[in-house]
Amino acid sequence: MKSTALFEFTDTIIPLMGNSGRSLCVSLETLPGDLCLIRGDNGAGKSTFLKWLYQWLQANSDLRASVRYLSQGADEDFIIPSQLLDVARLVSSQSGFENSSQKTAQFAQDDLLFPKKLWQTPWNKASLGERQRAMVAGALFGEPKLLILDEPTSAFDSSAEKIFWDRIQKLCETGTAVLAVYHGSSEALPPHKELLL
Amino acid sequence: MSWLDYLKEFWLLLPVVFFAAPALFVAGSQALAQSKTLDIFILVQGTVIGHLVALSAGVGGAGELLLCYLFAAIALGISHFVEKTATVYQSSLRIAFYAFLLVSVYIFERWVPGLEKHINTAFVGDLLFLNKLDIGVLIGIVLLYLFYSLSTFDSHIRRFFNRRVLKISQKAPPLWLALNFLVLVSGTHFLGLSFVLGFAVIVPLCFSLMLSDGTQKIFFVLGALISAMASVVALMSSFAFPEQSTSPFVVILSLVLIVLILFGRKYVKKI
Repeated sequence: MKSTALFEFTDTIIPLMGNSGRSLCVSLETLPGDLCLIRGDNGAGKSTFLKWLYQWLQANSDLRASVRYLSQGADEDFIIPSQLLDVARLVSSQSGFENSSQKTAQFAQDDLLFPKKLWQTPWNKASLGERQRAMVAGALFGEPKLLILDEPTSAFDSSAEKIFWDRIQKLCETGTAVLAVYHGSSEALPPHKELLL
Repeated sequence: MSWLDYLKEFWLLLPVVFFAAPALFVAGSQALAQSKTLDIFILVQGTVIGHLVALSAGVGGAGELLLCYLFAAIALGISHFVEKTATVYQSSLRIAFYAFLLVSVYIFERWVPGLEKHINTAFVGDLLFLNKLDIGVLIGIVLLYLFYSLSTFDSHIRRFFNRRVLKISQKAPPLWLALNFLVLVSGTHFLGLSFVLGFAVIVPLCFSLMLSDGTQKIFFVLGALISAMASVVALMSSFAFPEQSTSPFVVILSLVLIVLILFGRKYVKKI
């Protein structure tokens, strides 16, 4: 029996950032459990597409509370003091999904091997890899129906990346769909589709 | 009048600063978190111009407050228009606009005879000029703001985060924008420019520097509580110096107290 698509759109025009006048024309159907890697040259519009998709889903889909979006924002510093745990919790509580900091920390330690002692590291003093791992932990927490990830492992070391893809595979097996911009080799990755922009 | 006589006469000012200081801290911190502190300067300066227009036109009471809201809204509107239409140097252009507002006060003063003696009060502010109606209005606004902030704390923090890290712009709720506007403009009108700039700009910066290892929640809770307590202690101390304008005196003394408390906290933590 064919699964019902989480969302689909056909020949949709997505304007790219800036004044270039360029746009994308995309058709996409995503089923529960799909892993779709988005690839393309620099400036092809991958990040713009993901951001557009998240906002489109917020406006047009019943999924809105079960979608997590992760940008490449780990390099941003905060003026207001924040710890890694603050940020992880905020990522996991997108679109109104409520959870506690402690549950996020426990999940990250058990499922992503991200030790609890790191959680109190000030965000502005953490390395890019630590920040990214905290954000990813927040995004993966609580079995969302759809994950939209923009280069989620760009600052990961190889062991952290392996743990990440193992976890993604488990999530896909339970029905979570994942769309991710990813530039790495696809040899060791779980079964996936590719969207070339 | 002795220190105690002042306290008996002006005790109603204690709840004013106790609630206004944390409300301004929260509003200023939210602006700081979003790198929008310049908006506070524009709002405050627009309010001062509204205040002076009201004085020169002989408008008092509610009319004076409405003129402050009107001129603050016009100033902020022009500032945002400048920011949106310019493609480069937005911050510099907005600072230039702020400088224009600042200078225009003195041009205005020359046009309207007799206004110069009011300028100091309009700019600096003095809590002793507050009457019971002013106190009631201000406490009502800041309490409403504090209750709203407490009930929506998580969603507001999430919004800052979305902008800074997820880079997704979300429309701010109109009620939240309106309450921030009301608190900052009413605060400037009733308490003076120095009080608003002190508690909404300088105090949050001190906390963000000294609590850099802390969590967001600790920052807001500790900042609001310490601002409230320091402002009350500073106001009571100011009665011993009746020749001083209360607003700047309370701000300076509060800052000294806050920095001492934060240093003490750091020292105790190290031990």
